Amino acid sequence: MEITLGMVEYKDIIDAINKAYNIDFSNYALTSLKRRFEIVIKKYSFSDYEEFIKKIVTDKKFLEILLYEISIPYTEMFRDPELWLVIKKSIIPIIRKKEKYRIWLPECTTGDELYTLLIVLKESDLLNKVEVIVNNLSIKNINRIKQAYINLKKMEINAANYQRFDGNYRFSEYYYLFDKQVQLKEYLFDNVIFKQNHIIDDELNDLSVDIVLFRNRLLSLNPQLQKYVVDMFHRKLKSGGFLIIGVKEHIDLNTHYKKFTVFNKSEKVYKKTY
Amino acid sequence: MNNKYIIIGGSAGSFQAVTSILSSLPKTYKNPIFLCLHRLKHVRSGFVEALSIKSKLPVVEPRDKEHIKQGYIYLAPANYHMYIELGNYVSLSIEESVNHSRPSIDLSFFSAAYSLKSKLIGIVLSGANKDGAEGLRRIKDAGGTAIVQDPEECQVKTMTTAAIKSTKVDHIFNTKQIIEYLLKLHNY
Repeated sequence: MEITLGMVEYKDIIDAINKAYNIDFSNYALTSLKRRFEIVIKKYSFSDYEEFIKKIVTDKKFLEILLYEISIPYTEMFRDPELWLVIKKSIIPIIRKKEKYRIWLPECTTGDELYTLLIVLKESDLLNKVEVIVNNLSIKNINRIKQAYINLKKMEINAANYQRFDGNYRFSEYYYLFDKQVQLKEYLFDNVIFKQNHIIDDELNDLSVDIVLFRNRLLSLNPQLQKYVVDMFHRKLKSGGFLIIGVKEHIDLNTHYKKFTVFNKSEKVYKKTY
Repeated sequence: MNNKYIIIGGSAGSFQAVTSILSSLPKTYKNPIFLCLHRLKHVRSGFVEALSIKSKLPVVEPRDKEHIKQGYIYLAPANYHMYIELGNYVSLSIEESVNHSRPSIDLSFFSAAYSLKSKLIGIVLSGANKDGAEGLRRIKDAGGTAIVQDPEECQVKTMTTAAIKSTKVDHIFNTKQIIEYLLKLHNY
C-alpha cells in the first residue's frame, strides 16, 4: 500500500528502531530516509505504519532487510572520472612512496566505489600494498558487495565511465562474463577487510587510516551528524591523510574543520594538516 | 510580501521555455525558483552556465544542505535528486532513478510539496515521459498551485498531457502567460 508518512509517524519509526536496537537514525536527512521507509512499507505490503513498526521491533531478520533497503546502493563505477584521475595522478605517487597504506570506506553501501578503487590500485600495481577496509551495518549488503555481481545494463554505464577515466586495460579484463551479469575477479579482493558495524561504533576506535573515501554518503546525514562523522574521520586519519567526499558535498573549512586543507577543490579532496 | 516558492520541471523541448522565463524575470525577483530539468548524467558542467547567460538572477547548482535564499535559481545537479527540506534548505540524494531520471521531477516535487504546502507553485513544461505528473498531483493535494505548459505549445506533449490527466490543474498556460503569472506574483 502506498503510504506517505507524516512527521509524527516518521519520528515514531525512528524512536522504535532506536529503542529496540540502539541504532539512532534521528540525525539522518529527512526526505531521503522517509522515502526509504515508504518504499519498504509498500514493497513488503504493510497495511499501515504501526504494523511496520511492530514488525521491525519483533523480527530481527526484518531489521536486517530494512537496513539493506535503506542503504541506497545506487551509484556507478568510476562515477566522476575526474576524481579517479586525480587519485591516479596525484595520490597514487604518494602511496608508492609509503611502506604500507590503508584506505577506509566507512558505511560503504555500494560496491561501486570499492570496485573502482581496486581497479585503480591494480592498474598502479599497488593492490598488494594497500589494505582496504569496508564497513557496513547490513550483512546482506556486505555479502552482496563481496560477491561482486553486476548486471549487464549497469555495466554499460560503468564501461562508459571507465572509458572517460582512460583506463590502462580493457575493462573486460576485470570480470567474468555470464548470461545477464558479470562477476569481478576474486584477486581484486585479496586485501579487502569487511566489517559489519555502524559507522559510529566503538569497535572502529583504534583504526588509523591514510584515506577516508566517503563520497555521497554525507548526503544522507543532517548537518549535525555530518560534522560528527567528519570530526571522527579526522581523528582516524594519519597526518597528511586524505578525506574524499562527493562533489556536491561540503565541509566548512572556516568554522568547523580547520584541521583540513583543500587538496583538490572541484573533486572535493581534503588533506589532514595535523 | 508574498512567500511563494516556484518549482519547474522540464525535459525534452523545455530548454526554450526555461530560458524565456529566466530572461524575463527582473534581477529584483525575490521568489526562489527550483529547476528540475532532465539532463545527461555524466555531464557535470555547462548547463548552469548556459542558463546563467540568459538570466539576470544567479543560477546555481546547490550543494547538499545549502540554505535557500531569495532571488536565487536552483538547478538540480546532474546525477543527483534534489529535495526541498523542512527548514528552508536543499538536500541532494543518489537514490535510484525514478522514471529513468536522476534528477527526477517527481521526487523534487514530492519533497517540495511536503515542505512548502500552499506556498508552492509547481510548473510542468514540455517533456517526453510522465515524470512530474505524480509530483504535480502531490503539490495540488498539499494545497499548492499547479500550472502546466499548454501541450499545444510543447515540442513534446507527453509530460504535460500526463500532468493534466493526473490532477485538476489550476492553469494551462503558454510560456508568455507563465511569465505574466510569475511577474504578477513578484508585484503582489
